[in-house]
Amino acid sequence: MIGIINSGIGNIASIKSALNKKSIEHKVCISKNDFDKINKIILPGVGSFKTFYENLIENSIFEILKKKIQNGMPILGICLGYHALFKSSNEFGHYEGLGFVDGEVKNLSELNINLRIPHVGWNICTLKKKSILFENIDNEKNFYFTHSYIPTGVSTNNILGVTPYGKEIISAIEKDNIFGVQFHPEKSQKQGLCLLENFCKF
Amino acid sequence: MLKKRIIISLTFNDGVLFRTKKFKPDYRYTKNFVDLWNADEIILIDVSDGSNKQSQNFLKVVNFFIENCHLPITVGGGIDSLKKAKKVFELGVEKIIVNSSSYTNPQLTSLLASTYGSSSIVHSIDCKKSKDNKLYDIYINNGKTKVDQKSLEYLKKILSFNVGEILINNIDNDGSLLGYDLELINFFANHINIPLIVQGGAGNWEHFYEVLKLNNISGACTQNIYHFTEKSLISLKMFLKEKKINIRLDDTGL
Repeated sequence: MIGIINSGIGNIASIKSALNKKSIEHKVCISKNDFDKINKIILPGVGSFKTFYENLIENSIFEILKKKIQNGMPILGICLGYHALFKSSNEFGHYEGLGFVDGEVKNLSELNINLRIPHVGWNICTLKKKSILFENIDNEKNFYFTHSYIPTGVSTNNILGVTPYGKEIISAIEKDNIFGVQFHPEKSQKQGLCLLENFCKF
Repeated sequence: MLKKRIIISLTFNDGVLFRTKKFKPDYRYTKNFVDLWNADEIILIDVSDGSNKQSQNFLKVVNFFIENCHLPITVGGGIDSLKKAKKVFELGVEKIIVNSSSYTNPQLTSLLASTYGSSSIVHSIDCKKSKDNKLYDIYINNGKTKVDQKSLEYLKKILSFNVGEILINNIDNDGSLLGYDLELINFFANHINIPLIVQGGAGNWEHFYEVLKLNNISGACTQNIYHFTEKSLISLKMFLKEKKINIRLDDTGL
């Protein structure tokens, strides 16, 4: 069963509706007692890293997540949940992330991108390697992005996909059991739902 | 490359699709088709009065779109507290639109941006040509109250709240089908360094081209129900693609 982490501010309703559409069994995890029978985790997130992080700590989810993932449970981080997979974030202060992947989340403006921030709208994710996550998804398909922050300093081995926005931004990662995407698959119509299904079924 | 967005904007009065034109007020008609028509985003605006704001009926509509359209959904109309914002975010929307509350309660807009992230907050600006016909005035409360500040100064203030996107609308053009107000767009656009989307006046495909070819415009909204008939968004997008506008033309549907 898929566990969807509810950080308190995330838009879990749209993830739920996407999984319902694909008839994938899932359960919302609000506290550390909700992880029974869960074998995969989706970590969504809308909001600022600060609020997100404080809510996860307050509900004791941070530590249990760390343990589960270290023990090999697959996780898919989406948007802010993607940022949480890294060592740290600079959004509204400096926060330690879950630290599964080396990298630091920075504002797009720190990357000397001469385009409008936030990056909002549909853009492609070009794969750097083959992945189960993108099976049956064409490279030129668009996904929906809405973000001001992006992971930087990620090792090439862990970069799964990049997106052109002034320069190549790192829009998808894969490291063993850990997956993350900057865009919102639950809002990206056919190809987005296909990606969620790929994660849930592999 | 980032695509230019075609955004469908729908207004609701107590949960019923609200149209002043010859349209039967029944939202079920529209919502069944929107996902299939290649829209890039859907905006749902609550235009109910007073106590009907954010009524159960409106929230039900939002919920229906979330469950059936796996597309970005933005919700606006009367979001004047953290509590009301929370309610719509919990339904699964990505972005909310604020407007009048920024005037009465500026701290709230900053707070919303820091709580939900700048990219989740859209600020709409309703304008009318000023009496001298040279400048533009900004209005709040559904166009009822004129803001007593110079429009560019007020814009500056709005940008200081760290919102993530501006939606600009010419009230007089709304529903006119005469085209977007390019003069209005030029008036504000150079002062805006975040994504800018426009609304008001789309009547034909050429009108979309006129605004989307501008570098500083990220998307164009249409409220014109006749653009929502079968395959019409696809035909609009084919038209724009031929004109070399960078547009999303994935096969959609689920």
